[in-house]
Amino acid sequence: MKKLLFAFLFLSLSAYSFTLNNGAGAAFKKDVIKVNVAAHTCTNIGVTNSELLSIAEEAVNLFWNRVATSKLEMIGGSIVTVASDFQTGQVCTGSTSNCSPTPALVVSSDILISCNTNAANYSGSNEVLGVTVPNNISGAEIKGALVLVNDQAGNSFENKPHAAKVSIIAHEIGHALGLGHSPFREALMYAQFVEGRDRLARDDMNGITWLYPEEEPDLGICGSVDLDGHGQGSPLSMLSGLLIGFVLIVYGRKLLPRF
Amino acid sequence: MNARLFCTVIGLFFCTSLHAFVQGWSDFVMGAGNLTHQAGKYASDVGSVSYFEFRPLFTASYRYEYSPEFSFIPEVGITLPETSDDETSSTLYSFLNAPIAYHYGDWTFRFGPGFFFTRISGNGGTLRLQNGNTTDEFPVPNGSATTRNLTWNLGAQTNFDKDWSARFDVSILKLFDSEKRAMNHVLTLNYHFGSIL
Repeated sequence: MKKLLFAFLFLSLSAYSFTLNNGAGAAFKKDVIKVNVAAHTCTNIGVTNSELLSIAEEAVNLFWNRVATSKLEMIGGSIVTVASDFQTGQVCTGSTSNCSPTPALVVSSDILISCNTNAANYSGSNEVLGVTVPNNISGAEIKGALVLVNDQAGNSFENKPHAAKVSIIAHEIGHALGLGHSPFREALMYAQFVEGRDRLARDDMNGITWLYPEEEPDLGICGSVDLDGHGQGSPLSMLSGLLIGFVLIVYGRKLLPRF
Repeated sequence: MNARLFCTVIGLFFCTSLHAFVQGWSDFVMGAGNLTHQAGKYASDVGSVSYFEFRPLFTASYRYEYSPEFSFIPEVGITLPETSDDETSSTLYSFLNAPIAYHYGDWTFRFGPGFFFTRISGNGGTLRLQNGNTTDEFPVPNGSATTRNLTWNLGAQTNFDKDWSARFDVSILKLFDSEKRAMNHVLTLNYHFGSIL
């Protein structure tokens, strides 16, 4: 029995380890995050700007808007006019692990997707489908993030089927939200593209939950049971709610008729 | 309305326990079983989903008998903490339910609201993972986040005898959100201590 119990406990627990893309654990603080697309023409990715915006909307609805334990809400934005630097500029100076965002490419708010032809952004390879940098971070808040889709001639994105393009854009949006890569092949945030992904994996869901935890219901008048300082409200208001509940139970029993 | 409901659920749970201590309860129950979280919602492998997970769960509840047919059965449950293989993060689930029960012979049918908590904790540090054509050190979360979901619960329990029963419950998260809606299910074997006062 002891061996069985030990085995019971030992077998239960193999959870997942997601990563972030910044040391501060930064996340958007807005209630709703928009995904916009830059207006300049994408030459080599096989889709128009409008189609790219539709792909982004499909990506957020198929993946990131489906996590019950996260408060994250994303919507498709609009096609926006931006500087030509977004089409040809380099997103970072320095290495990918020590990125200093180029000031001209800083995104003021939400997420911007732009086609980009600068080979330096993709380590000189057409196999790198895109690069994402939350390049507007203030403390623990992401204010804006940039997704660059590889628009060089001969890139790998162009000939991918529609579903693959959706999952690729969804992966880059995951980086824009603050997630790093996952070590698990079934995860959307796995470093390599894998055909057939149509939903998030546990690792992705844990990551987005940690960054954007759901707190139902709104406890403006009742306090929070959150233990880590993420919530709002005061313990005193929760205790007053408990006292009200106790009074209802004690005296309510006398007032209500029996079935 | 949701804030008042939360106050009422939490208040009912803790305050009925205090009331029980004063008045005496008909049945204190402890159970052990399994929780599957968000069944069928996430990819267990590329192109496939999982409807069952092995995740030990422990529960405690007490039956506040309002009449022979109806009871109020506040309940708490908690899983064992799950630690990732590389020990960089852990996850813990717990819940607090307040169902009304209808008793019919050896069967009990339960329905009511509750709260489901997910606590995800990270130990900090980094993981070296592929990034494009090279590898990079990706930060692992440092600290905890706890989520709280309002749930709607439906279940059935069958009594083997006066001491033992088994039950199956379904909890719906985000009931009115067609994209986020998810379902947990619980299966437990329970021991009934009866009145503890």
